[in-house]
Amino acid sequence: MKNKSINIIFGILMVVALIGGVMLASQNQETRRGAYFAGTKMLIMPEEIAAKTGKDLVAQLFLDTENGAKLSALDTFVCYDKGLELNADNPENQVVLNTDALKDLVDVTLENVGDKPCVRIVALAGATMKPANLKSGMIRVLNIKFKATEVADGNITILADKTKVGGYNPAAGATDNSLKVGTVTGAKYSVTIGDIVQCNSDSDCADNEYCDSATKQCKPTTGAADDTYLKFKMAFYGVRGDAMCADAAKLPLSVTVRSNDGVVKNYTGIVSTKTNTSGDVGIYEVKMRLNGFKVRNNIAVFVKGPKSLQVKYGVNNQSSYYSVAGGELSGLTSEESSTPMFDFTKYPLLSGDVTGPNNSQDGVVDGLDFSYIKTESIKRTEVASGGYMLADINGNCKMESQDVANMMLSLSVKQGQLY
Amino acid sequence: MNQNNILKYLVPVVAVIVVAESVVLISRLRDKGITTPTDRKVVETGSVKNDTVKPGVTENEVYQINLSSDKASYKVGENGEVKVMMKGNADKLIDSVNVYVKYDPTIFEVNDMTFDKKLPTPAFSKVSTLRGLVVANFLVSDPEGLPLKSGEDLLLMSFKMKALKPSTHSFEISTGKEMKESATMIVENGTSKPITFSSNKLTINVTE
Repeated sequence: MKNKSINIIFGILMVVALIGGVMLASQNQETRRGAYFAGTKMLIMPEEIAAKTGKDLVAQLFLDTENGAKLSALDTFVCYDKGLELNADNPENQVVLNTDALKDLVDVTLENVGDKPCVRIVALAGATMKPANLKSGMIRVLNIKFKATEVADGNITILADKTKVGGYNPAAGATDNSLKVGTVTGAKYSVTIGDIVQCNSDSDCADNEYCDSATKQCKPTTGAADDTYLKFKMAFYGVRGDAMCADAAKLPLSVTVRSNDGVVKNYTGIVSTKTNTSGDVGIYEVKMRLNGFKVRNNIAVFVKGPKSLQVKYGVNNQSSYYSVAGGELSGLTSEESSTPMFDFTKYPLLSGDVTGPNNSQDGVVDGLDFSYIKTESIKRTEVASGGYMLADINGNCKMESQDVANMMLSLSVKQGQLY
Repeated sequence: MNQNNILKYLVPVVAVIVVAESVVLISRLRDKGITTPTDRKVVETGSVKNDTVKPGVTENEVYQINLSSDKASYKVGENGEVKVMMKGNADKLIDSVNVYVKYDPTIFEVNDMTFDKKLPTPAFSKVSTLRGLVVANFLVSDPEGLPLKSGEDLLLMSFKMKALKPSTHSFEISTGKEMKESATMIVENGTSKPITFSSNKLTINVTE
């Protein structure tokens, strides 16, 4: 009888134990190697950054690790919009690591993700950092020193799905050393036109600038004496000579030159000189030395304004879309006095690229630009002479239906070229 | 003897429980998947989004763009008509509609585009054999935009087509993946933001 009772109790215990096992099995179990042992937030600081053209715009990358988790490695993508630039040849020079947090900057490469420029940054604590010295909590990991190249608003973003963060797991024998990336927060930035310094001679300008004789303005020193010198005059569609809100300084250009054998150079923040104050067409002159570009013949020039589409110029006195590959601009020299002045005024820059899917210009004129300009035109906003409005396509200091009409014409012309 | 009886019952019970435990464990793993750290979904703020539209996705999209033809199959040389209709699930005011329909000009000859009378005259429309696109851009100048009711059908475009050679081919809405200028887009009045939409592929069979 006693044995029978023991057997029943023993049997019940076994059943209970097994039911408990079933319950445990139904719980989430983390048994994989390399799983996350803690989490981290990532953020760009400050949340809003402003800079002038030609100056540095510094974005600080922070991590905020949870539960005292210590940071040991980072592999991340930081993307940005227009108006910012990193040097394609030496981008690592513009990434400054906080060596208290991570010692070794392993790799800095520029990559496009979708249609966005991004910088991939890989950094490690390195073998010399002991676990006790690794940082936890809110950590400033690095600074990215973008060059502000043109007037623009945009966002700096962190791609969480392409980011890996490593940490030191203090658990004995632990193989899980990844930090799960949780919330990531980017930053907004705004690049405005830089201060223009008037000058009479080079001594009035900074060390890396010279005094441009035509404009009497300090400009960045560009290139060696044997680099090609480019001069052209151009116009913006719908902008008259007497337009009072179309100052050259408010319309910095992006100029790209390409030789027929594939040499390409891009120059941003180019400030032209407006040469007339009356007439149906405002004429803007550009004089610039092409830093690092020594080709003299058969080149094409691509010009883009802050609210214009990029236009290709392949011949002097061009008056229509240049659809041929390469370019025919020739006879350039290295001297301002002897290089030819090309005339592109008969084929003005098409206006209307004022916004895009990410609220920044995207190089396309479409329904987003139309809606933006239309919305602004309804407000009938006006600014004083010398002011600037992104949607003021004709630069007459007031928003009106003419701005919408100019944009619609641009769209029609551009689509005719494309299709 | 009693002990043997108990064992007779206990062993099968234990076996059943072990099997049940295994089933629960395996089904859990299958449901959750065996993920790697990079597969895990993380919150992403301000990330790059290439497409504002997702053809084929129907949930939560405000507009549905439907491509249809009078027949599913045509003989070479036969003429037909394709309609591109749009219907929304909310009342909206529209500022612009840019429509790009991809097709293969070696298989179909397309011409004679017509549009809903409710739409303004397109700022640009063309059958581009160069790009293999049927293009229509509607820009609504009215400050109030174009009012579209929930459930209201709008004929974005219709066009005639002629089958040129035997093949199976799809007409579909372009989202700008091949060329960013050719992204189909519906922009809302006031917010100046794109409105999401889904669309279908119209597959047509051309026979001898």
